[in-house]
Amino acid sequence: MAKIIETNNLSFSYGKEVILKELNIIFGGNKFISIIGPNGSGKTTLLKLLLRLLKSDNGEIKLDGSNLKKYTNKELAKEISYVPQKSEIDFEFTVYEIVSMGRAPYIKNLEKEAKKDKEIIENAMKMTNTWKFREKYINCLSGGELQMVMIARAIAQDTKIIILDEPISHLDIHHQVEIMNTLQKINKEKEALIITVLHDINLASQYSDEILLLNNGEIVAKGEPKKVITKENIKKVYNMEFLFLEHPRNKLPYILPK
Amino acid sequence: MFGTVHISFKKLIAILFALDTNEVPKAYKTIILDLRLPRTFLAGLIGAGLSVIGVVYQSIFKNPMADPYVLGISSGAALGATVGIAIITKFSHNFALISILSFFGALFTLVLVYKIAVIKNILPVITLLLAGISMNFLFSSMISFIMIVKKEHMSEILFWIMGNINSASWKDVLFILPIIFFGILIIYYFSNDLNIMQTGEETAKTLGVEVEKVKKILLIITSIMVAGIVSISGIIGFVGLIVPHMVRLIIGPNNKILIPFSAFLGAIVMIFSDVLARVIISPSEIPLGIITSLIGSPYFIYLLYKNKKKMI
Repeated sequence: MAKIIETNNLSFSYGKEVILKELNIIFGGNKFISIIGPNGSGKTTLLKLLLRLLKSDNGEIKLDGSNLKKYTNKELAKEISYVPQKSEIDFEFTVYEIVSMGRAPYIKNLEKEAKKDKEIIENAMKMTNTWKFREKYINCLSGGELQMVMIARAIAQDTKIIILDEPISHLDIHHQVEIMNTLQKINKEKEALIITVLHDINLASQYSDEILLLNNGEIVAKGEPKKVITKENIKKVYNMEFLFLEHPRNKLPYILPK
Repeated sequence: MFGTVHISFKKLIAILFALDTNEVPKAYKTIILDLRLPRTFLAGLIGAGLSVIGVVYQSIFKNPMADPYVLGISSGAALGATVGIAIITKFSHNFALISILSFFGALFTLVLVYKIAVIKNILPVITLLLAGISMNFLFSSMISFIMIVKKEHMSEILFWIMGNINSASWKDVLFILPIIFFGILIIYYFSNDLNIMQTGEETAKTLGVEVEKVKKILLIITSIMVAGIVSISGIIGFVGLIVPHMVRLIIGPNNKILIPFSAFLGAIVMIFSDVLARVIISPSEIPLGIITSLIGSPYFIYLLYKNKKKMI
């Protein structure tokens, strides 16, 4: 069943600095949604509010109609999973151990993973091509491998919403595309709502059903890539001139700095 | 069982299993049953407790340098004991009173550190660590001040702080046993949560761990354990820092195995160190804390050196 997550007049500020101004957004269905915008536009803050890692000053967030505050951490962990921008794990856990932590919301303290949990973990790892290095230590992986492991953990968590914070910004082009393809596969096969912050406007355009363009804590545009990535919007937000092209295959917007 | 008075293994067995006790002098029986046996138990319990607390703090603070004394609880205990030894001179040989004062000194410090660190009902590990460090400095300087003013008690205070279990009795064992036993059980209950918290607090929250609740429960449990331990043995260093590292090297960071193994190895290390403390300059004794630091610090430097090599 598709999930709907919505914000009503959501505001957030660090001291006197206002980060988000009364946002009203609805994310729903099995969509692939990208959030784009310049640094400091409030993208990560929005994600952290949706994950309840930050507390809003004003307004509320509802998941399928009920206030996010009503969920325990465990209940929420069965609905939304999270792939952080960077994971720094100093302890020598194996890749398998890290992915199996995705089952934590379903397992009581002192209990072990059941057979079903192990199957889910294995499937998640095979879907992300991480099964082959499951015995490796997590602190010995490359950036691309590590990010894949984190995505595998999110799949193992078996949620209908997956939130990612700039999952590809520090990776090479090969790993970027590999990760975007994997996310698309999860979106289609697991019928999961993907909400990801991206810096690469062109990749956002190619992969997203919907794009949310933020600037100074406000919504500039939201909708299909063609409607959001327009000369007017992009110039206003990024404050520079771009060449606007079409991707030769799928006719989606493609931009280059002038 | 080693010590200043040599008692053969055969006699030891006879005493322990109450066999044919006529053959063994009565004094030997007292030495074994009332002095060395409780002392060995106490050393084991303290070693196990300190090591498991070390495991917990290293997980919570995501910092391999964290040890059971990092929150200043021990300094509070030491201050309590120092006050007991130096200021309430009348009772200066009343060990029970000194223990009680140090226990409450520790609990008082817990409340203080908590109040300083907490922000809007959330307990950030950074403020917690800084609050602990500042308490450590504050109380250490107060202890030094008392030692300067009350010079006649200086060696007694120093001996207490350095850590020893010379005056171990069955009463001490009975006091510390439930604290350590139930403490470790409760900590073990949260072993999975601790595993996940090692990968970061935000991640742990999104994986369903009630991070703030777990942190508060464990903080209180470990503080009571530290208070109990320090009130009996003073500040025995390095065991709580080294043992978790040693065990992690062998079996990895999974707390489900790490906690019981650390308790076990911690007990062994402490019993062994206590034997050394008794026999090295026999018939005198060295404070146990000096032995653990003497063995512990070179080993720790070795670990650091090995890690450094790995990084290059």
